[in-house]
Amino acid sequence: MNMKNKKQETDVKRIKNFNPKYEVVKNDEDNARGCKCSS
Amino acid sequence: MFNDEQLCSKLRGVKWHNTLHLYPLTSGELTTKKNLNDYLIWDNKIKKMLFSNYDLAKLLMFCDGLNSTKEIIKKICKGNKKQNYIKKQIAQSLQKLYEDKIIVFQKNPNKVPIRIRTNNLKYPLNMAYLELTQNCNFSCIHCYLNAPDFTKRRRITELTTKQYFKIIDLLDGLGVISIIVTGGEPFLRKDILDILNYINSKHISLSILTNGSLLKDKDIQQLKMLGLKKIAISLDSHLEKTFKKIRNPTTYKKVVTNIRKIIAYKIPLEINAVLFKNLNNSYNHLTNFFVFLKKLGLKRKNITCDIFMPVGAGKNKRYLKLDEIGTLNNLDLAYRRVFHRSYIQKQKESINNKTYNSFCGVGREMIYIGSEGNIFLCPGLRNDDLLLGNIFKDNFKGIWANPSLFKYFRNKTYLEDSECKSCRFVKLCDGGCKARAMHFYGKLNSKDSWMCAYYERNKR
Repeated sequence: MNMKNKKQETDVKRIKNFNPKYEVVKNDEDNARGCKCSS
Repeated sequence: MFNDEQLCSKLRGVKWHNTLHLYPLTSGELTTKKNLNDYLIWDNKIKKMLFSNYDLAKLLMFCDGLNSTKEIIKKICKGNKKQNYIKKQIAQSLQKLYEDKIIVFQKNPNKVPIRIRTNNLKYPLNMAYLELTQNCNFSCIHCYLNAPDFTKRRRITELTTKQYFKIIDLLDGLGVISIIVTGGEPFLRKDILDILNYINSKHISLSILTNGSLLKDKDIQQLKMLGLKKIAISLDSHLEKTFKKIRNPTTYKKVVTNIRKIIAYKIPLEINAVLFKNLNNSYNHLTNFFVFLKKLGLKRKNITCDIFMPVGAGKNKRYLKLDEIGTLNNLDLAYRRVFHRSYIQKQKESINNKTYNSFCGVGREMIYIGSEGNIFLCPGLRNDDLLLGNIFKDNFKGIWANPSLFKYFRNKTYLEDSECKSCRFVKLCDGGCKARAMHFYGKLNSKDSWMCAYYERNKR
């Protein structure tokens, strides 16, 4: 029961601050990344 | 509370009231996966990958073609007082998703599947390199595999098509969202297209690393049909004589012809250049190289540059090690001159409001599977002394849950006794490329001087 209440609380908290965000991963971001296969 | 018209006026450029009764839906090939701190979303149709937070992933789950925009708002707002705020957030997000072509609106309900890739591992595994062969028709001076020249001798050990299918099934089951096919030269295998098709049938993001010399017209047509995230071709110079010195004596023209064909077919292409001291790292060479690529129709985002590492065939060629700061200056100036943009990317905020981290994910979210089924950390750390196990002989879950691997990469133990610990850029690079650190300085916890130079220049 406690777990259920806790889950509901978390859901309410999330919805209150509902702020959908995303970023598209671009291929050229690999420039900064360390990993490049040089085969 | 806003009415729909008022809300519409708040959203520049969107006739919001028109979309309220429409049904937002994704392409039908969208996969979402929960990561440690964010969600990874891959659309296998439009070939786009996103990092999102929980709220966006939740919003996308409603975009299955059965809920109209109004119903989505109603469901998310249910029992909440801040309805105007939430409504605005949803509207803005749907607008951005529409502009990025991740969703479309339809007049009638039409259910499309949205796949949820479950993570069966304690630490999510997102990306896998799949080495199809160690054989190669090139004999590059820096090959990390030290791949034998195909024309002279051939390594026998190579997995069968069925064994690769088994590996792909396993990776799919483990929640891998992206596979990078590599070699050797993968197009030496006759079953290459069968393997690529099998990966694609699992809705996994597919990229190929190739030297581009063996592609036939039929292969390029098939690749177009297949839909790739990208095909990466190694090309380090516009000059045939430099290409000959680095890669292979006879195939320069064939590679360039195939690059032209791939561009004509509009297949996402990336040129991977490796830079060497006194071979191709001067300002003049880089400028002419970029002008050549630009004339072929490539843009800044289609070109990436790496540096020579003394490993494999390049182990005893330390004289090819370049001066990082000087090369990065040349690279940046050449980029600015040709593409009018800097090579150095400005730091941006990630979706979790933390600074974007350029660490590649070695030991944390990626793995390398060799052509004998051997498991390694990454292409650059493919040494026998760093062998983690074999995919057919050992339990993969057991390997991935390896406590020492956990501790070293995932808890960042390598930073504790490293010179990176006191560096002001450590939060940006997490110590940089561990393969470069290992091969240049002998230890995994050493610094990666290419990344050091990169961030030093970034701060200017």
